[in-house]
Amino acid sequence: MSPLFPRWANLVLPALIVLGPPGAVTGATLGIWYFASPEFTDVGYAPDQPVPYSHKLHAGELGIDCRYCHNTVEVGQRAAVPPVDTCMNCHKVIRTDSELLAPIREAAEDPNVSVAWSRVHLFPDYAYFDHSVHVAAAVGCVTCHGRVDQMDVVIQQEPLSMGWCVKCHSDPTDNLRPRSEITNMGWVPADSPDFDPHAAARQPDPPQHCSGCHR
Amino acid sequence: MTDLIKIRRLDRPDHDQPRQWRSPARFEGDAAAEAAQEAVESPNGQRDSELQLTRRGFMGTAGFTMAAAASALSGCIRKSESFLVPYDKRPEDYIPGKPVYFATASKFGGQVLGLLVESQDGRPTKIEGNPRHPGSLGGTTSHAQASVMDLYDPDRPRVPAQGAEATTWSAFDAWAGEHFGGLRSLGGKGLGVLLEDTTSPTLQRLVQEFRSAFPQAKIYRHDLLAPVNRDAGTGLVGLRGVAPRFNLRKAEVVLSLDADFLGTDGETVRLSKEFAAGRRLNGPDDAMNRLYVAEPGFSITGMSADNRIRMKSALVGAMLQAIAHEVLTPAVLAGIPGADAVASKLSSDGLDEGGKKFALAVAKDLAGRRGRTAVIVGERQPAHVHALAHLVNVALGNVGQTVGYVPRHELPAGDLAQLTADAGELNTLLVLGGNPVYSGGAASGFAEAFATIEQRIHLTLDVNETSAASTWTLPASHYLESWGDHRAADGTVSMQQPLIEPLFGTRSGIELLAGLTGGGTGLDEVRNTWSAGAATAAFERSWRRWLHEGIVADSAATPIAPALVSAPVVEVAPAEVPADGDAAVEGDAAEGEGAEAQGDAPAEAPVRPIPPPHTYEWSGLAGALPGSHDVSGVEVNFVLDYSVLDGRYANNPWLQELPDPLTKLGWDNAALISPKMGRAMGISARGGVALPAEGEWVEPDLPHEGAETDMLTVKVGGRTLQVVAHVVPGIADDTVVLALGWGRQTVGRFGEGTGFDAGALRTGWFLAGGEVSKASDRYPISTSQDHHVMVPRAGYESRPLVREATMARFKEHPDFVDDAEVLPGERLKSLWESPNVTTGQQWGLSIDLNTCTGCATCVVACQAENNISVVGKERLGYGREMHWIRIDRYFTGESLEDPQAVVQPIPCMQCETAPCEGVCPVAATSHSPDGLNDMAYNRCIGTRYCANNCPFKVRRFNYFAYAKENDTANELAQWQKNPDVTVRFRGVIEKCTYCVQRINAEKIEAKAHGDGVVPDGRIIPACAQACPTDSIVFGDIRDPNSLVAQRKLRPQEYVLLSELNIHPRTSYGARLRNPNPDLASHAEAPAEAHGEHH
Repeated sequence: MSPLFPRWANLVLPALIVLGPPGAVTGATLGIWYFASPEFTDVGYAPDQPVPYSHKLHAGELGIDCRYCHNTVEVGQRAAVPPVDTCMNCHKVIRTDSELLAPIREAAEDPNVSVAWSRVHLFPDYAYFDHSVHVAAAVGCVTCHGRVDQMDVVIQQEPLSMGWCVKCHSDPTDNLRPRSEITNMGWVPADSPDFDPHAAARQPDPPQHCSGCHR
Repeated sequence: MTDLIKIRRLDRPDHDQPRQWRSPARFEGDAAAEAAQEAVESPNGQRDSELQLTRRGFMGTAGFTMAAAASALSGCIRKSESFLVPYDKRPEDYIPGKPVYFATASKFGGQVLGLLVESQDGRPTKIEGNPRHPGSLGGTTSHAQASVMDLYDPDRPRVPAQGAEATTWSAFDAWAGEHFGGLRSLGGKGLGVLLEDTTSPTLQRLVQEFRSAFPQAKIYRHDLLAPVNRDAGTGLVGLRGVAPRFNLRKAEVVLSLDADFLGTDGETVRLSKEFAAGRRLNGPDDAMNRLYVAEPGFSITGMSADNRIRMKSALVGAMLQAIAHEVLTPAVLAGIPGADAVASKLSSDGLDEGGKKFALAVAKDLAGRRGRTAVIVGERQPAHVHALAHLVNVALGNVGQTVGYVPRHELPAGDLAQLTADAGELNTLLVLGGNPVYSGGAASGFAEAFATIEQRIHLTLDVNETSAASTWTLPASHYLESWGDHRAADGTVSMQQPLIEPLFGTRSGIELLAGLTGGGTGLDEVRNTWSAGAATAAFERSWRRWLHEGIVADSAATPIAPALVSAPVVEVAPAEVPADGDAAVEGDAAEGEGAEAQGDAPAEAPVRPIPPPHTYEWSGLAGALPGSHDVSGVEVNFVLDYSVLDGRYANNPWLQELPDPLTKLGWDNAALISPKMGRAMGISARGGVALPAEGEWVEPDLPHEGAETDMLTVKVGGRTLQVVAHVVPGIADDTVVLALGWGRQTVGRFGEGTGFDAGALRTGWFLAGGEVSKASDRYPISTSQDHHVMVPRAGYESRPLVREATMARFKEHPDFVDDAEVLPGERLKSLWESPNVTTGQQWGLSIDLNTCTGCATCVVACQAENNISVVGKERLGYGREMHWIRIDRYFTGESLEDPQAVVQPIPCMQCETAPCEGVCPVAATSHSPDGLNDMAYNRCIGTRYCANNCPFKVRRFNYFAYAKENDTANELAQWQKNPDVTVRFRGVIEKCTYCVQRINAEKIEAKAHGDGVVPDGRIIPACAQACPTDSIVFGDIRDPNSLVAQRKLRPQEYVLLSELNIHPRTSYGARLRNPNPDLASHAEAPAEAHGEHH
């Protein structure tokens, strides 16, 4: 009768005892590291919106500039979801009977009705981000928001984690572009061969201390 | 290390700084101090409101596993879905997330302040002063700062109530239509209106209109903050309808006779600004004004005094008589016709030797500075003292220089006593605001008379004793919710512009009165007052400008120059008043024309009578001067409270928790008595610390739990009050000082059970013939006077924290602050490497102790700006108050009975080599390149090592979820929160950030739209902005032209605890005093005379 277990099986238990706990700890660490990170929990978040507004259509195909709707991006901390009035500038005359636009029309007519958009890019309450200063430093929209002009449904592209922020804050050079190209989603460095981020008289000076963002 | 040990062993250093101490216990010695400290620091058995567990219980049951599991799980889930709800139609130029400021105005205490109020996405959150407004000049008071919390008072009445039954406005309107219709047919017979002191031209106009609709209606006024005695005093010298107005910028010497003009008495903000301007020195060559104070208690004006004398209130009049006796020499009297009769009644009788000496020295000083002094009398003093002060100011040539007169716009009205007497004839009383049932005091008999009136209608912002006794309670609008207008003391008019629709469908007094007389909305009524009914295009332009600027241009009244009988004797400054005798009349007309040319004046100046020519008459005064002063028994004094005033702010948690400037008591008032009196009655201080005889020490009876203080029985005028005792140095002997406004019976949740109702004894501002004895009961009080001490143990007692000197010493030795250094510079060593401070902008702060009055406006401003939680009385007692800036008050000198006082605001020092940073195990606190000591709340794990290692004790720990508790206790509180500042949670340390949110906002502005450098003066921390004396200056210390750099270069500037070599960014301008050389100053008192304390 051959033994039920081969001889090497005698090593399994000691090996488990010796390697198991460190393995479990390592596994848990790596697991939490990855699965609890914004990389895993947040990237790819694409909630349904009350109106299936397509950035791909408006910004991509129609070529409307980001700032037509997000008009406070250069002067305020928030890029601000546009008021219903902004939609109605066009939709007073375009697709006036579309079913999909019913919530917009209703809000435009009734002051007691609003449109509640689902927030895609969520910052924690203890971190303070200001759009105007990033735009002034010539960081493009696409750097943080991805190719919104190609999205039917807006999806979170970047983790927006502290490590991700700090990476750029420690050396923003790669994310700078000519001021004229801030809202150009398709811009690549090869498009502006003469652009030298180091040439500007005043270099961006992104804060790397706590109170730069936490206060 | 030897150096450090050496410091510890220093028993008494060589420096010449006077001894400073915080409380009688600390005065007595180190053992008492340590015992008191122990009592503060070892609380046990506190419960977390949320978990219903004690802290220890939590640690025992929860343990590591639960915490680990919770943290691991919560990390894996994205925060729940949240929504962005944009405007349907966004207001033009509105940028979401960017605060907007609106100009408005309101009345606080006895003054009108023009305000700029911050609105965060439509919610009013923070009050600032309007620099254009003559009453505010950019400064505020603690009450103005805290008033935003009254808007979010959870206990505000929200709907009208008939009796106890809630009803609706339409029900009231229906009832009122019928009831007032009936009254109208009777001509208003039996109708009365009780007003507060009002500064609103529109309300005054509506009351006039109300009177024409109801001709027999009677108008009454009751307001403890109204200048009743002052008006009576001006009436006594023939100047009815006129109010004195002081200009302290021109005053070299100010004599305050029981006048708390820096604290609660009248135009405190403007007077603080002007007074401070005369004490802000760039060096020893600048001139400094001098302040004499005679008072029974210890007001913040008294704390600022150069020479202070404590005396019974009854003797303050005698003091002025003695001074007048010296000042009114025959030569002077020759120029003041009719004053001889007054002069013949004056003497220095009634004063003791010290008082006579004081009076002589003051009179000599005043007489030598013709036209450059000011004599100010407090509202607590009777009319004849005010009247005599007018004469003294005339005699000193001050009129037209430091003392002006302006018209006082007030409706003729009866007082509360009149109303009480008339009550039998009234069947309807309309009470517009106020709380007369409480503030009238039990002795007035008003409450009983009120109850006999058939219909009692009370319009009120808060639930109070009067509304509880009314048949109709109508909810009033807050000033941030309603239209109105206010006339400042100088006549300048400001519009009260609302920032938000009424939260609960309330009405303002203007709206209620307009409704009863068939008028329009509040906005219509205010506009009608100023457009005279014709809304022309020019009016619209002016109106918009008035709203934008917060003042009506050129609306200030022309100063009145009263004539002496044989004119012209009064010397007037040509710049101020035209020399013509008819100045007032002519000036008014000229002003009207000039303003109209600018298209800016009201079409027709309404409710603005042209003042008749005024003449002093002294005949009435001679008869009114009393020959003797009643100093029998114990004198019982009543004062307005710095926190709750007359009780109107009793439900404001910020003001409740705000430590009193003198006693540092929170959530209570107390009977203040002198140490001598306390000792005589065997009263022990807080924590059972017995008051020993001078020079002797008794081991204190501690421990802390239920640390209670003896109570007193105060008897006066046949009434009795039991009240907790608090021993305070500097109070006059045989005197009890009681703050009004506490012990409210019907009040919201925050004011309940706080303090004792001193009003129950009150029949005047001070009463002689009182009896005080120790009661058997004891009562717990919470005072912060021994919290956060920077002299932690024996040997450090001599640390010169507030460095002070007389002007004489400063002139002779401009570097006197350096003499107080404990270690010479070359012996300083640092444990840490200094950060780079030579690039970029480097923030720093300078606080001028010479101008700081200790009014605590900065403390409330900081609380409003930085979402600071309130912790409550019990935790305040444990030293767990969360204020980021505190005001330390020290008594100074070698006398326990009659010391002087100094105050020192302590924010975070933002040390360059900060001891807190090195000990944080998780680097939650670290240094920023612009010199801030940053705090990342989310990194903090709550070890409290940093707080332990902070030598200034500025770090605060969230032992419990205070912010959550606050929001649970008041569901509206979160509306006030500043969205630019993180709300801290349980278990983290917090501290002053120099308002980093304001710094960042300006840095972002400079980076995005400027050259990257923030111009000087753009960043103003909340404390500096609110300060009524501009004592706090913030800026870039690397820029030699910045205001803060210039302040830091002054010879009297020093940093705290410089021997630790930690390079604080906050520095202090030393406290200087300018005492009269003829009077022995406390600071100069020979030390050897008090040798037994050492």
